[in-house]
Amino acid sequence: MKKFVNIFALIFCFMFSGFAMAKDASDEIKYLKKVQVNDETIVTIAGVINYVCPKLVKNASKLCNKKDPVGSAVAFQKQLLGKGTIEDLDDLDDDDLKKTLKKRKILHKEGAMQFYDAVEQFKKHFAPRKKAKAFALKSKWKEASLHEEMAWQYLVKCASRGIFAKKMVDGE
Amino acid sequence: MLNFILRKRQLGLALLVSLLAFSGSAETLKEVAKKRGLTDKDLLAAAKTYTPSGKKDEYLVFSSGGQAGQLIVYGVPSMRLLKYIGVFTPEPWSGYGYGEVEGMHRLKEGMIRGTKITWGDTHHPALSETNGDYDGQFVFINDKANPRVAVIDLKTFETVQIVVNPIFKSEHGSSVVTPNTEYAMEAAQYPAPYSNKYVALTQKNFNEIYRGGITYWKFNREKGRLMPKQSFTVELPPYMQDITDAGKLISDGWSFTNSINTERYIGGFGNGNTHLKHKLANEAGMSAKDTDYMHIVNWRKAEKLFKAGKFKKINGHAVISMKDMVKANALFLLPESKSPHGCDVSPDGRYIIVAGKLDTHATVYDFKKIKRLIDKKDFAGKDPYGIPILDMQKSIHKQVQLGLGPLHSQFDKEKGIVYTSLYVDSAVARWDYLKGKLLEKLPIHYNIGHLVTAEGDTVNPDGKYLIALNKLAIDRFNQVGPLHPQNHQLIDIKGKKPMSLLYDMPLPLGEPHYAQMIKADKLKPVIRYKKRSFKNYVRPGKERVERKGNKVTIHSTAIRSHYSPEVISIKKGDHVTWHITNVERAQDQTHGFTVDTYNLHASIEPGETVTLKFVATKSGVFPFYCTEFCSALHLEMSGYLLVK
Repeated sequence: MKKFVNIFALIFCFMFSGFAMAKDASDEIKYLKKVQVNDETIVTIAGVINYVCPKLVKNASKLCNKKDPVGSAVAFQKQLLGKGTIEDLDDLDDDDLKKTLKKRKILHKEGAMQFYDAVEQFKKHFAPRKKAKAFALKSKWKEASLHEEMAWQYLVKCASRGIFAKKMVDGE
Repeated sequence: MLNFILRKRQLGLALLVSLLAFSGSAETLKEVAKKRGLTDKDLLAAAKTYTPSGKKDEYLVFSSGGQAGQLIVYGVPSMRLLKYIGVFTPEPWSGYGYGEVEGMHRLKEGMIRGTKITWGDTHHPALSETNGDYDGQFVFINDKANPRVAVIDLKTFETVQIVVNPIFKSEHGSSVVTPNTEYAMEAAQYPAPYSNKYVALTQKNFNEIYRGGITYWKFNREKGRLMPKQSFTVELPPYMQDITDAGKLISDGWSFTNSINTERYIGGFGNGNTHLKHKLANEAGMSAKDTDYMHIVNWRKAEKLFKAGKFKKINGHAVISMKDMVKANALFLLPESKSPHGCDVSPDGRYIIVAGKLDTHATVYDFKKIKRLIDKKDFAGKDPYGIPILDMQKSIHKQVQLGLGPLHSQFDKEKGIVYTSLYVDSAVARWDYLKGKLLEKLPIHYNIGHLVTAEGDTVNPDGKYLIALNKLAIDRFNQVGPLHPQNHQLIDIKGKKPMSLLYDMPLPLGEPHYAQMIKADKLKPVIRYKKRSFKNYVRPGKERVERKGNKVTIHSTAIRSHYSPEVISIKKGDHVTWHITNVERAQDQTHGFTVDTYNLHASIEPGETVTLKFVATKSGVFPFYCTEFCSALHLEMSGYLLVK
């Protein structure tokens, strides 16, 4: 179970050291390295989703699909929100929130809310990554590198929330 | 054979290694106790208070922060500190009083005669009540030094109102609430003229112009605010009114207030007095008589007089005269041991316990007897202001000798059991106020003032724990200079066992004064703010800087790990209004905000919009940044305010 946390720790070390090594590299190399780091981080995040998702919902076999972790995460968010918004859940007091989540077959209130936030952060990385790719296609490496960097920031935030969610569902 | 011997040796070696490893890594409870010199009693106390990580406390304590002007929140039995709430004093972490308009407005509300006062002498917190039980919605606290009362909303644990008493110059018997929080009461302390004019301190003026009083602040629960226009003061003689309690159940509608210096003595001791040099010190003359007076007020009748317009306005505030109160049979005096302190109404509302302070006794008054005397108009006399005096002996249920310096009392779940602090003895007395019998005394360390039991001043005390609120611990903790920490001592009062001391908690703030202990599950605070409830909410994508003349309004958002906008140019002399919305929803994603040199700080909780106002009086380059470690890229969450 601690494997994922360790993987995160390794990835953070790798990411930070990679960043330091890339200091004098060209923008193109920086961009390509960051793409690699981000791809690997996404693989790790997918692992966390596959680990946490079945512990958060009652109908895990229907909702959590190991072959499609991002789809699982989005499906989890839909189940959490029902027909409402996250603000609707935020407006509930604690007892009502517990009742609502129980009705929606959510198993772990705190873990679920952290996981929701992790997924929100993850979703934010798509836009800068898309822009980074577009700049890369035009060989605008500095802009591509900056946007890929921004995507990485969101992945880091996703990772930190994902670790919280995992700790909570595991009762660590 | 050799192989067998070798194998045996290897096995023995392996066993020895594992034994050594085991003894080195896993200490037993006995070993730890021996190393640290802990007794079985200590271990039992630790087991009763230790709260493992992630486990919550059964009770929360709201404790006065004394001269720090704050309110302190901690858990019981763990004694873990949870929060300091800025009330009369700016609080830097939350940004209360550092440019953020809400906090600035609160502190401005507390201005007296145009003077901004940035400290307070908080004494007595009072949790709001429904039918005499804590309801966990609000807490009130007073400022003795600058007569004020504050309201803290327990949804947010933030100060939402400060009201200034328009006629008092000091107070003490506050805050106390009536059983359904109809009123928060505030009794004056040092008599003074109601007006703000100079009145020479002569005995004649003191007797005729200087006054005491009790203010009944009307509370509107829906609005969560005290209503000054619906509030009134009952005029009282220039005795020093002191600790106050509200009646409950059979005594509902009445309030009881101790007093000192019913001698109306004015001292003048020592060199340097500008006049009255011939007199002895206050303390000599103020304790000359054997008795002082408990003031008994029928506040429901006072309320009727107020509603009937029987009052005069002083400094814009309604004051009901002693004369009208006496005429309405709504004000009485009852002798009590001289210079008393605590005045505590029993859970059933029938008994009022007054602790002697200079007497070794506590006196238990019976409200039924008091009421009978009032109804029959059986009075022992009148004071110089025409207020009827009840007969002390005819009002007493019991008098019990407890020890030296009895001060305050709190009640147990068990009927008739009460705990009283003994200041001079440095002890807590457990006794039976119905039978009039002292049961037990426990030494504490030292200088106990108030004490608190779980829900111990409500109609349903919970017992279990008592905290002795001790002043200036002289030998309990490591030395930290000549000003000692306060000591909140947790005591186990469960069952019929002897009381036992569990834990010492030092608090490096002001004198603890009073505290109240509420069941934690009664509190329902919000976890995060509702973004849409803030009128200046800045939606992501709508960030902007607007200018109208020299008025600049900045609409910002904050999210891990950036502010938008990040670079803002303005001109010297601009009046800046800066709205910042924390657009996060994760409950621990608080962002701080500060701008170099301008003495600004805000703590922006998820969903919250804060507004800071300041005038750009200095030109230059001013970095701003997030002061909470909000994310891995926290240090990068920054920007520049450029003032041309």
